Amino acid sequence: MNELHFAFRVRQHLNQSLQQIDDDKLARLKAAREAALSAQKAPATVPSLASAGHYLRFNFDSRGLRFSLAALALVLAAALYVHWQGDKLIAELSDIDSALLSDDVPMEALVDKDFNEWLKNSQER
Amino acid sequence: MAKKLAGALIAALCIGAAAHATPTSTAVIATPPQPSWASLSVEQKTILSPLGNEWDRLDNTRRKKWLAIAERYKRMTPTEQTRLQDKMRDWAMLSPEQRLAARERFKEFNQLPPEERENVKQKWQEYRQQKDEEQRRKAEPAGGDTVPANTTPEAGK
Repeated sequence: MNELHFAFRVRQHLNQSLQQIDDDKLARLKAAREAALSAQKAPATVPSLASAGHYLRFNFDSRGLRFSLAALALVLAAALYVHWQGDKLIAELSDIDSALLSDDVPMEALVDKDFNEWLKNSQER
Repeated sequence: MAKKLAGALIAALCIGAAAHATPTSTAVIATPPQPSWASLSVEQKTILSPLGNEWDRLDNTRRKKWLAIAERYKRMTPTEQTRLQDKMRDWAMLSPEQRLAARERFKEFNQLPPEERENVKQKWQEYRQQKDEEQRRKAEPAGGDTVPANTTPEAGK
């Protein structure tokens, strides 16, 4: 018996056996097959950009990167605050210095510590 | 990971605290590099001419402040402009503590009503006269005898 002949005999035997299966067993087999087919997910095509997004999301989700980004944002916010504060202070200084220097009150009167005391004493007298 | 965040938090707090502290010197403020005297425009050099010799020794914060003052200068009256330029160099020569104290006194002075401001200016003249007299008296020899100008100490013996 060669191989081909053996395969033919197996097929014939299976076909004959199939004819002998009870109707209720056939119905159960059919229902099981349909349930398996409906449960099978359709294969989806994944675009390359989605893959990149998935990669980024995966990495962003990792705690290490999240902590690093939070630390970076914190330092950046502090640096911006310092820059803003510096600008604000310089604006305040230029405001008061230009007013002080262009006023007709003598600068020495503001610098001389003794004058302040003398002024208080002279007002008390 | 938490160490990274804690480190960043400490760094941020340090930076923030440095910025928030009331500075006695403007040197604590981080300011980007400001132009050298040679890089200033002709107009800026004219306005800031009393600071010409000191400019390149000023820190970036003070340079930035003076550049802002130079911008305000353009909107001042000629009298105010003259006053500003007259005082500019002397002001820059003061110590940071002296400038800080003078600003505080000026703020107080500025809140006074006009008549009181005039009174303070008059009082300043009075105070100067008293000081001058005191200095003249100290310069005179003890006993009140004035030595003639052409008499040397040896000749008086």
